[in-house]
Amino acid sequence: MEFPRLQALYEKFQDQGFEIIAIDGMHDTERAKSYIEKNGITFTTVENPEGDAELVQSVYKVSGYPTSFLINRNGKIMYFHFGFEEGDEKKIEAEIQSLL
Amino acid sequence: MSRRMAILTLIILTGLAGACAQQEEAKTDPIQAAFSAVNAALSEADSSEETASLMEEFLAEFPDSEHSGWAATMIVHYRADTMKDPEGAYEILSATLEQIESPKARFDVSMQMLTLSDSVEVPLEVGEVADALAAARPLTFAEHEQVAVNATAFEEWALAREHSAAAFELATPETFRAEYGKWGLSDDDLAKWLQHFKAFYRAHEGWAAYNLGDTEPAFALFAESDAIGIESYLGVPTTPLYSFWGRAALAEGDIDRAIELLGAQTLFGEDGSSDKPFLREAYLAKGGDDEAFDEFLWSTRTNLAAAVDDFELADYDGNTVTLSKAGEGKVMLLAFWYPT
Repeated sequence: MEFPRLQALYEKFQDQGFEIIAIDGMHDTERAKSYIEKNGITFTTVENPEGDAELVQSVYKVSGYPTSFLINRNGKIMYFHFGFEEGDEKKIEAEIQSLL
Repeated sequence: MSRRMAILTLIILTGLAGACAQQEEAKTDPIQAAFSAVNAALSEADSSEETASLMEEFLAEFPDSEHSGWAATMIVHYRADTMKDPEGAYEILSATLEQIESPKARFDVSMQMLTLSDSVEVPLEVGEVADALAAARPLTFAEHEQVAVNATAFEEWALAREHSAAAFELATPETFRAEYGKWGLSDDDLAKWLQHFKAFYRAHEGWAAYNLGDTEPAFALFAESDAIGIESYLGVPTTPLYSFWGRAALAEGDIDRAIELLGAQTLFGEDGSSDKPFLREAYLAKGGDDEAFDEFLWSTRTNLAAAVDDFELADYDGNTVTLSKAGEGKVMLLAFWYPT
C-alpha cells in the first residue's frame, strides 16, 4: 500500500533532481511486475537476485520491510525510515525537502 | 520515552507467518478459524482504521483466547499510535479485559493497556499484573520483557531491573522455539532476534540500575549491551541503549560521550526525537550557542552520515541500474520492499 504514496512524492520532486529506486526483497518477479503496472509506478524498480543476505541485510542492515534510505547529492545516507504507514509520507517529504 | 517492545517488532514483521501454520487447526477450532480469517483479511486492509477494526471485531467475538494479546498489540499500534486515538484503544481493551478469565490473556491485554498510560489514566499496576500471572505459572522471557518495559516507563526501577535480568536469562533458542516455534524462523534468524532481545534487556537493566544509584554496574551493563549489539544503520542499535547510556553519561558529566551517543540516537536512531532535548542540554553544557543548535545538528548529521554502498541490479526489462550513476548529483530514495 506504500508505493502510490512514494509515486506521489516522486512526481512532486522529480523536476528538482529527486529519484527513487525500489529493490524487491521477495524475488517474485511476476507479482512485482503486476503490482507496478496496477499502481502506475514510474520510478525505477529493480530485482535483487543475490538475495537478502548479500545486499539488503549485510550492507544496508535492513531488518524488516519496507525500509527506506534517503541519500543526499553527495552520496551520503542522511536518513532512514522503517515502515510506511499513513502519515509517514509527511516525515519523508520533509526530509526530502531538507536535502533538495 | 517510547514503550516499544522488542518483541513487538517481531510480531509485526512475522505475525502473518503464524496464520499459515495454523490452518490445520482452523478446520476444527472456531477461534483459530477466525484468527486465520483475520490474518487473511489483514493483508488486504489498506488503512490503519481497517486493520484496527479487524482486530476489534476479532476481540469482540473472542475476547479470551491465546490471540488476545496479539490483537491488543495491533490495536495499540494502529489505533492508539498511528491513528492517534489512545482513548478509543483504551475503551476497547478495557471492555475486553472485563470478559477475560484466563491469566495469560488478562496479562497480555493489561500490559497493552498500560502502554497507553501516557495519554489515558490506566487503573492497573505493573507489578500486580505481573504477580497475577506469576501466581498461575512462571513468566516467559517475552512476558518479563513486557513487565520490564512498562516498569521502565513508570520509573519502577527495582521491578524493571528484576524483570530485564530475568528476560535476559530466559532468552534462549529453546524457550524461543517453545513459544514461537510455529513461526518457523531459521536458526540464523532466530539467533539474530535473540541477540537483539538480549541487547535490549541489558540496556533496560542498565538504565534501571543507574536510576537505582548503582552507577558502576549500570555502565557495565550498557557496555555489555553494546558488545552484544545488533546494529542498525550507522551503528545505532535498534534498542534504546544510546538513549539510556547517553542520558546517564550526561548526568555523570561525561559530556563528550553524551553528545556522541545522543547525537547518533537523535539523528539516526528509532524514535530519536525524544532524545533531542538531552542532546541540546549536552551541547549547551559544552558551551554551544543555543541559536546555532540546528546548524550543529545538521553538521553532526553530515559528519555521521556514511557513504552509500554502490550496487548494480537489473530492472524488470533487463536494463542494468547502477546506484552511483542513477543517483549522481541527485537526492535519492532507496526503498526496500515486498510487493503485496
